[in-house]
Amino acid sequence: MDTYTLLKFGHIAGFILLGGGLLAVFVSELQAYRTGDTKVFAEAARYTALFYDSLAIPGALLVGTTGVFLVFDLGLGFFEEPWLVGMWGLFLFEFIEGNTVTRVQFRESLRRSQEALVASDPLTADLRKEARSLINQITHFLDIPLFTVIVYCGTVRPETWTHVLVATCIAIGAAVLLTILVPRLARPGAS
Amino acid sequence: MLKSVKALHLIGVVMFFGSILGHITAGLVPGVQDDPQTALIARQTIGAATTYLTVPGLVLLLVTGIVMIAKGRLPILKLRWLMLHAIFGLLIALNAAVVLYPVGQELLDLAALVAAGAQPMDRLHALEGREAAFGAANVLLCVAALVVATIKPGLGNRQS
Repeated sequence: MDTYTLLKFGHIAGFILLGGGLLAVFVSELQAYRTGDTKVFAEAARYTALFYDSLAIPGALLVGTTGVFLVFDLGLGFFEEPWLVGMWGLFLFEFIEGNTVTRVQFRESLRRSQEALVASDPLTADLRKEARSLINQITHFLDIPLFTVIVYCGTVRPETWTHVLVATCIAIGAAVLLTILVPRLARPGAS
Repeated sequence: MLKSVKALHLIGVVMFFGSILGHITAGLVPGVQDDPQTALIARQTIGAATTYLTVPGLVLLLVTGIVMIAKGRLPILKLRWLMLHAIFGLLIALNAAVVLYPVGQELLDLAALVAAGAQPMDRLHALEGREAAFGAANVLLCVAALVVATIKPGLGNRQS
């Protein structure tokens, strides 16, 4: 097996881990919005933390490492192709945001929901708001749309900046929609 | 067109294979082996992931795979790696539909009964053993399908 094939395999495996982790986080967060039970709410926060640490982070490290080596192996310049800039630019943004803002948010969410569970507190609207602030929701719901744009850039390889920018704008719009709709539609009692 | 279908195929891989990795991770949560309530929540999370990710991901994989072969006019009978990849895909789908999905539903129902105190925890573990065996087979098949699709080995045929 040549270096390129090995790197490509690692890159795709990394994407599966990263994407699988982000999608699993989405499902566990959905469970948290849907429940009316503090135990389920606290467990969902635990799952979110677990999925980030065991799938998304190792996947991101694998994608990042193999991605850099692939650029060198293929002799591509980091700033020459719009699709490549889109890929590493959005990846870097997600990596930094995921390990700073998102990490602080999901740790806080885990801490607050575990406290409520130990104290046998009922799952009130205030507890929900304390455990999952607006910034927490935005960071979670931004992950999958941006990941989709990264996949789009890597497979379709758009040749113009317009395509990359439009795709990024659509992703941000989708994240806004998810942030507005999911917590409301998934709430217990919502049809 | 084909590039877009390929992108969807990759998203299908991420949804299907990624969610399976999520199922495995969910089974590693502390307390899931001995606390009935924790086990029930784990099964509910796995059930939700199956509904929203695994099943749609598998459908997306199969549909986009067939479209790529048809639209790209790929000679599946000549390209043995593609034939092997398709066979692995069908085996994965068959295992998921015939064994893993029904067992998953059964486990969810059983976990609810165990949490209600109507069944012993041992019964849940016994059924989980079956899921683990067939699940492991599917993970191996997924890895094999991924390796074949990435390396595209000649396997003695004329490569295009």
